[in-house]
Amino acid sequence: MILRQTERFLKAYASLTADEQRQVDTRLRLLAEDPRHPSLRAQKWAEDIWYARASRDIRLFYEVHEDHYLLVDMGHHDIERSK
Amino acid sequence: MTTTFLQLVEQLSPSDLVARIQQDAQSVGLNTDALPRLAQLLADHPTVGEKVKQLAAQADAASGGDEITGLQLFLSSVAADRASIELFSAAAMWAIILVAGRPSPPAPYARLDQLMARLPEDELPAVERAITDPLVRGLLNTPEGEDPLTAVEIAGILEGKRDAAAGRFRDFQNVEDLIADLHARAAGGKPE
Repeated sequence: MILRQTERFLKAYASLTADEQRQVDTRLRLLAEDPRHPSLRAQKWAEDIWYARASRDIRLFYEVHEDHYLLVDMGHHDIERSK
Repeated sequence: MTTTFLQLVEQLSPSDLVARIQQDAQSVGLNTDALPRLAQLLADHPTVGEKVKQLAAQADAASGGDEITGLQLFLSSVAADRASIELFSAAAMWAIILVAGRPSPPAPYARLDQLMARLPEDELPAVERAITDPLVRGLLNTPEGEDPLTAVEIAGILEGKRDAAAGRFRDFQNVEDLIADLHARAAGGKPE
């Protein structure tokens, strides 16, 4: 399965601390290995948007397509810290 | 609904704009933490208000007077204009409020038929959006106990989807290559 990384996803990743980036890395490996892995706590939020938790308050947003995962965005589930 | 989006923008002073968003957002349980920053932004940069009006006028002219369509076009133009994330987030919040704040029909089809028969034709675009737009559906259908998306998250998702549509992405067959690329480009500053 192809992993498609958007510019928005990269910008969000760059805004994280090194520890947070490592947490995201772990979840990305799980996503690539098994999108239904329980550790991801993946939820289908809308018809084409899923999210998985990288930590207690960091959520990854992605779309599942036939031949690729589209990595849309990520960030703290906290409006102040995610700016 | 007879008020266009432009009329709403023109009617409200910056402080009233923030108050209106806050009131509406709280009525549907949305996060309003960004509003103090929006208020400060508008106070510090009076030209932001003029820019909003300019973009809203363009969106309004292209929308045929439909409030929701106008707001969608406005959001797109704000994003394209690289306006501040605070402003965009507030507008995104408002877009959701306008749709989510409308009465949503219950499931039974008989009841739906009755509602559809009474629905004014000019409300159809908003209803269609509430039914078909995945972000709006997601907001309306968020399971109980699950945190809804914040305005910042919605804005981020929309930006990511625009990136994909515009070809601003990289494909990776291997997750380790993806992670290595993320590390390299995140450490190197802004995306190419």
